[in-house]
Amino acid sequence: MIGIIWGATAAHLLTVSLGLLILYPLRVRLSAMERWAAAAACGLPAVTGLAHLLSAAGLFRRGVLQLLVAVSTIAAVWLYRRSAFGRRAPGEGLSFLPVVFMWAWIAFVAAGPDLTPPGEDAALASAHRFVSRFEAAPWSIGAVWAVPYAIGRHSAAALFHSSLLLPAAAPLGRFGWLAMLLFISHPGLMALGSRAGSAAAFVLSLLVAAGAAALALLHKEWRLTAVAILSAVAAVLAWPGPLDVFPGFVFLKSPYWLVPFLAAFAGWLVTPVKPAAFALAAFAVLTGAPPVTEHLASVQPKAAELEGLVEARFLDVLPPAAVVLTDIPMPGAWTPRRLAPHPEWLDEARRVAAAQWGQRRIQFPSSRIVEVKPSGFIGEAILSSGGQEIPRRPNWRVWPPGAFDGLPFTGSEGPIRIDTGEELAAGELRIIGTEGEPWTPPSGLRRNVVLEWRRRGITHVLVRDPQLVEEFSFHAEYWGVDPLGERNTARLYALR
Amino acid sequence: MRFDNRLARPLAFLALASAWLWNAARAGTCAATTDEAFTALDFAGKPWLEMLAYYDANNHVLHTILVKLSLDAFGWNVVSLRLPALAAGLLYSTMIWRLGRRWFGDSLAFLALCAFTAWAPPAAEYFSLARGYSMALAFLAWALLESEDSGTARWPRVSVAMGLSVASNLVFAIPSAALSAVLMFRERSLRHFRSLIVPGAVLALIINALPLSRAGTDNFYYGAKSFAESLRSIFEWPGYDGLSAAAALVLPLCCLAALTRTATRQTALTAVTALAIAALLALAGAPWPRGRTGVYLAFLILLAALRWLLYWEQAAWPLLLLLPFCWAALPLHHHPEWSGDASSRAIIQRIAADAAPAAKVVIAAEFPYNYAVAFHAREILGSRAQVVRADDPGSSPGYAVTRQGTAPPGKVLFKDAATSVTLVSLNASSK
Repeated sequence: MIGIIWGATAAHLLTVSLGLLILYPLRVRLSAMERWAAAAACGLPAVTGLAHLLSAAGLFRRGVLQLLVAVSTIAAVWLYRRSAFGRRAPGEGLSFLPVVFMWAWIAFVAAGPDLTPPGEDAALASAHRFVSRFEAAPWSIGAVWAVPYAIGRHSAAALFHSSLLLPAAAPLGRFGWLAMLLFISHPGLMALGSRAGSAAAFVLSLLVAAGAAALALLHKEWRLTAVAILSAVAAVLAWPGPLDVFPGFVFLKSPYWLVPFLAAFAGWLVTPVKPAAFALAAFAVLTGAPPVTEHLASVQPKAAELEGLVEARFLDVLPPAAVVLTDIPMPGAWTPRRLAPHPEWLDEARRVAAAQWGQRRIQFPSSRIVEVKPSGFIGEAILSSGGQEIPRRPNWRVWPPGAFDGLPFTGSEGPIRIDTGEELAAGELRIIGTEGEPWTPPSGLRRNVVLEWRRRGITHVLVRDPQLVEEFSFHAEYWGVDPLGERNTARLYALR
Repeated sequence: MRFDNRLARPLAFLALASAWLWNAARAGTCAATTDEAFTALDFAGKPWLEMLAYYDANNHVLHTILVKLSLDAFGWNVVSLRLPALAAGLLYSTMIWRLGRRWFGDSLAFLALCAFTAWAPPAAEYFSLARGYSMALAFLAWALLESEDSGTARWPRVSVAMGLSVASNLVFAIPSAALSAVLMFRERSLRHFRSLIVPGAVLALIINALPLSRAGTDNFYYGAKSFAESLRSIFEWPGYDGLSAAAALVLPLCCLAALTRTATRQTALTAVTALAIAALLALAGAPWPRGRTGVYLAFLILLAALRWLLYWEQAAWPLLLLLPFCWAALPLHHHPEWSGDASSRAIIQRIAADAAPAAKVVIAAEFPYNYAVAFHAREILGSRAQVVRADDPGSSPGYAVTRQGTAPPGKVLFKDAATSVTLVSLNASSK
C-alpha cells in the first residue's frame, strides 16, 4: 500500500510542480486553491510531453522519474517560497476541510484490493502497454498514467486519478462552502474517482479551462488565456468518452462533467439562503454516502464486480513475453501480459471440436469475377476447371481471405468473391464449410489450429468455455497444449 | 336585489364547510379508484426505501408520503387513503376564504367567490380523491395568497408554498415558475430573487429527488397531443357536461378580458404565463396538460375570471344561481372519471360473503379494475386475498372480475348495470 500511495503522490507532485513551473512566468493572480487546480491541469500536458521525451531518450524508468519528481518539486517550492503559492480568496477558508475529507477517502480507497473496473480504462491500458514496452508512449492522458504506473503499478495510477478530484474541488471555495460540499458528495464523481479512467482529469481540466477563460474575460487578465488553453489541451487529452455514471440525487440527470459547474452555480445561488443551504447540504451528504447511494441509486455507482480481475492476476504466472488468447473479457490494464486482440480466434478451435464438416460444389460460367452467396460458414473455397484445381495466384482479389488459406477452420460466413483479373474458363467452385454433403477433414486438424495460433504469436490460452476446456483437457495431445492450472473455473494452457 | 353584507361571512363559511363535508362524505362512501389504488398498492404500500426509489407519473411524491403515513397510522381503508386530500381541502378552504376577504371584503362577491371555488369541479373532484392534485392546488392557493402583498418580505413563504405544491405534483412547477416570473416582474426586483426561488426549489428537490432519479422520459406518459385537445380536456369534467362546455367557452374569454383591468392583472397574467410555459413544454416534446394534469390552469383561469366578473358585485347573483347546476351534476357515490371502479368495494364484500372463512381467495380482475379490486381485497379480506390480472396464465382464480361481455362461464354473483362490471364465481361450491 505504501508503494501505491507513493506512486500516486509522486505523480501528483510531478504534475503540480511542473504546472507551477509553467505558471510562474505567467504571473497570474490566483488564490492558493485556484493555483493548485490550474497547476494540476496545466501540468497534465507537460507530463505527457515529459513522458515522450524520456521515452525517446530511453530514460522512462522508475528511478529517473523519482529523481525528476524531487527536482521539480524542489524547484517549484524554491520559486514560490515568497508568494506562498497565492493569496486566499474570500470564502476559501473552509476549502481545506473537504480536501482533508477527500484525502481520507482516497486513503480508504487505496486500502482496497483493486481500483480498476472494466470498460473505462483505455488510458490506463495504453499506459500499461507503454510501461511494459509493448508500445510507444501514447498521445493521450495514458502517458501521464504511465508515471504512477511505473512507480507504483496500476493501483497507483488509479489513486493518482482519484487525487485529481482534490484540486478540482478546491477552487469551488470561491463559490462558497456549499459548492465544494455538493462537488465532493456527488456519488457519481466519487465512483469515478475510484476508477483508473480519465474522467477526473477531464473534469479538472474542463473546470480550469472554463474558469481561467472566464476570469481572463471578466478581469481582462489575458495571461490567464494561456492557462485556459493548456487546460483545454489537457481536457482533450483526457476526453473519456461517454460514461455510464450515476448522476446523483442533487443534480439528477446532469452529466458528471457538468457537476463542478452546477455545484458552483448552486453554491452561488443557495448559500446566501442559510436554512435552504443547510438543508441541501444535509441532503447531499446523506444521499451521497456510499451505503445510501448503493441502496438507492438507479445505476450502481461503484464497480463492485471486477469481472475478469482474478483471471487477469492469474496470468502473472506466465513469462513476460507471453501472449494470451482468452474468452474472458478483461481490460488489458489488469495484466502485464499481452492479450490477443481477437478472442473470436477461439471459434476456430470450436469448429474443429464440433467436427461438423460439409462440402458443396457450385458450377460457374466463364467470367473474370466469380461471386456466389452460399449459406453457413465457409472454411475453404477451391476453384477447379476441367477436373484440375486452379492454383491461387498472387494477383487474385478474394473474399473472405480465410477461405483461401488452405485452413478449413479459418474463414467466415457471407458471400464468396474472386476477382482473378483475367477471363476464367467455366468450372466448379468447391466450398468446404459446415453445410453440404459430409466431408472428412484431413487428420491433424486440431494440431493445425494450435500451430496457426502459434504462427500468429499466441503462446497461451485461457478459457472458461466448457467445450474448449473439455477438448484441451481430454485431447491435449492432439491439440498440442499443456495445462498450467485453473483459477476461478478458467483454465490456462501453454501452446506447444 | 340588495345583499346584507353581515351575512357574507357566515354564508361563505357555510359554503366552504358544506363543500368540505360533502368531500368528506364522498371520501368515505366512494370506492377507491384505479389511480388511488395504484398510489396505495405500488407506492404507499411498499417499504419506505422501495417507495422512494421508484417513480411513475402516478407518484405524487409528497402526497404519497402522507398517504403512507396515514395508512400506516389509521389502517388500510379509503378514509385513511384520502385523509391527506381532505386535510388539503381544509387548507384550500382557508386560503380561498382569506383570498376572498382580501379581494372583496365582507361582500356578496366574497360569498360568490368562496361558494364557486369550493363547489367548482376542480375542488369538488380532487379534494375527495387520494391524488396529489388536491394538495398541490391547496399549496398553490397559499402561494397566491402570500403573493398578494406588495414587496418582497413574503417571498420566502411564497417560495415554500410553491415548493410544497411542486412536491405534491410535478406539473405544478409550471404555475409556480409562472408565478415567480410574475412576482419578479411586478416588483421589478431581481435582488431578492433568491428568497423567491431557493427555499421552494430546495424543498421540492429534497422531496422529489430520490424518486425522480429513477424517472425517464417514458414515465411522463400522460398528456394531450395538441393544444386544442389540451384545452378541451381541461374543461371537460366528467359529470359536468353542460358546465364544461360553458366553462371552456366563457372562462378563457373572461381571463383574456381580465387583462384589460389593472386590478385583475396579476391573476390573469399568471394564467396566461402558465399557458405560455405549457406551450414551451409542448415545443420541447413534453405532452400538453390533459385533464387533471392541467387542473392548475382551470383553477387559475377560474380565479382570474371570478375576480374580473366580481368586480361588478351584481355579477355575483347569476354566479350563485349557477351553483345548483354544479350540485346537480355531482354524484355522491362515485367519481365519474373512474366510474368502472364504483362497485369494486361491493364486489369484494360479495366475495367475502361467498368465500369460505379464512380460505385463500384468488381473484382474477381485468385491467384496470384489478387495482381498485386489489385495494379493497386487502382492506376487507386481508392477506388471504390474492388479486391477479385476468390475462395471467399461471393463476387459477376462484373469482373473476370483468366486463359483462368478456365474463368467463360461471355463476354471476354481482352485476353493475351502469358499468357492466361483473363478478363471476368460478367455484362450483359458490353460494
